[in-house]
Amino acid sequence: MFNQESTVTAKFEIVLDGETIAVPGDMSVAAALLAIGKITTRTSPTAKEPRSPHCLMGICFECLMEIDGVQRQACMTEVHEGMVINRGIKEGEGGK
Amino acid sequence: MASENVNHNLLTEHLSYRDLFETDGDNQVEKIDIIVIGGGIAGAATALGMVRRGGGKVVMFDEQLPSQRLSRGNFGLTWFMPKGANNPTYALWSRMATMHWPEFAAKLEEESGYDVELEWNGGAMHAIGEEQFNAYGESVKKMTDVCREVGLDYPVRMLDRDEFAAMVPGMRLGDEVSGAMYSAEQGHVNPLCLLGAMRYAFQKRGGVYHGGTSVSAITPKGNGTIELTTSKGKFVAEKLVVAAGHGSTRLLAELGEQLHIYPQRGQLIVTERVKKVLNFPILAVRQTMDGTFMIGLSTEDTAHDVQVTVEAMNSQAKGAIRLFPELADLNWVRGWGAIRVMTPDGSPIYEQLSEHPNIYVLAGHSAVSLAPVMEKQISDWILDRDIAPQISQFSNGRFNV
Repeated sequence: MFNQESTVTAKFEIVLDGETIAVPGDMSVAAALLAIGKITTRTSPTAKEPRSPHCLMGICFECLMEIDGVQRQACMTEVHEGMVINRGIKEGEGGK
Repeated sequence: MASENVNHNLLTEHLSYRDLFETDGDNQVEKIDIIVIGGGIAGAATALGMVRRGGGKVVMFDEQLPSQRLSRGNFGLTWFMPKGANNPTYALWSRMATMHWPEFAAKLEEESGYDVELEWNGGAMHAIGEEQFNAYGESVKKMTDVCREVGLDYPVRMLDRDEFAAMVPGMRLGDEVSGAMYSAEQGHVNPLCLLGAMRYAFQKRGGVYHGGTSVSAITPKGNGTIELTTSKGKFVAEKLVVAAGHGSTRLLAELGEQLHIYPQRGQLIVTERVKKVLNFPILAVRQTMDGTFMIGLSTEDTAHDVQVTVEAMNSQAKGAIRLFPELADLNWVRGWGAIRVMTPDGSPIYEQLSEHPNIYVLAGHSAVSLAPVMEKQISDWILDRDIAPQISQFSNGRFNV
């Protein structure tokens, strides 16, 4: 879905919704998840519909997810080794 | 300039063009029945009321100053409690306005297609500790008496902690919360939708809206009309309504009228959207239809400075967390400051200038709550249809000593 720049070489293992998975590093959590095709960031608490990053610059709050135990904006948080992320989304909604 | 004259003659033959044609200089001046300066909630509600009542050609100017946008920066409460403790007329006026909010909103939604997001499930003011709870109880007694004397009910009561907790089942009360003052007949709206709906309905009924237009002079003419000099040219009207918030001070000074208003800053905190759990607003905390918590209860005298301060954010956040501890876990998304239009006694000003009786002035706080009386009683007053007995009590002259 997204072409990565070949200059990105860092790889991290993170725990996403209880599953260990490899993601590219040197980028935000939102970018790293998009890079592996995980396009859903959360379920809207009011509309109950899936959401994806909209602005990627800290304004829209559509990429809020629980990162290492705290609700944070994935686009404003750099991904690191061993990060634990819970998106709280329904089964099969988060991309491949 | 011959070519311009040709164009000019062409335009006068096409009225539809002519309506759009404004010029400063020659005799091409639009005839208007009523001009409203100020397109905020007060101006828009009054202008809408006047076009609904067949007030003729009504034109509204809005300067759209980035600094003075209280109609966008407010908390959106439709509230009467406990306004007017020292002024039964204002208590009655607020109560009367609030009572009519549900039908006002329904009509506006029907007319404009906008949902103003009115939630009409009541409203509360929480108390911390026993002393504050007792003080609130005294205030309710006093206000009930004040209202009874003018033949009005005051549907407000004290909720003890348990009853208050039971009424907000989606939230946990902080340990220090002793109870709340509560009325079932209050609510809140989305002020942005309210403003949009009123301006849209106004134009749909034939009103003319000029955004981004500054008025530089009000000149009463000998023939009983009023001439306005604006950034879009000159306009002449039979009547003028000045509802320009703090901008009214400048406009009226030239007419020799000192308007008794002063700026008061309030600040707000806006959180991320979460599940809707709070089903009615508390004076300091409300949850909007889209799940956002808004927190605000600050008053500061800072002239026209709208900046957000760490101190106010901090104390408001602390106050909100003392009420609902769960709020501590939420992300704060935005904050802003806005400038209230305050009067020395807190009640609004409705003034018909004695020197120029076709110039009306509307100023003061609580335009959201008072929108229904602006739409009805105030527009009836300006149109000489019906003069509510309370209006004379809200003159600007009451502050002249």
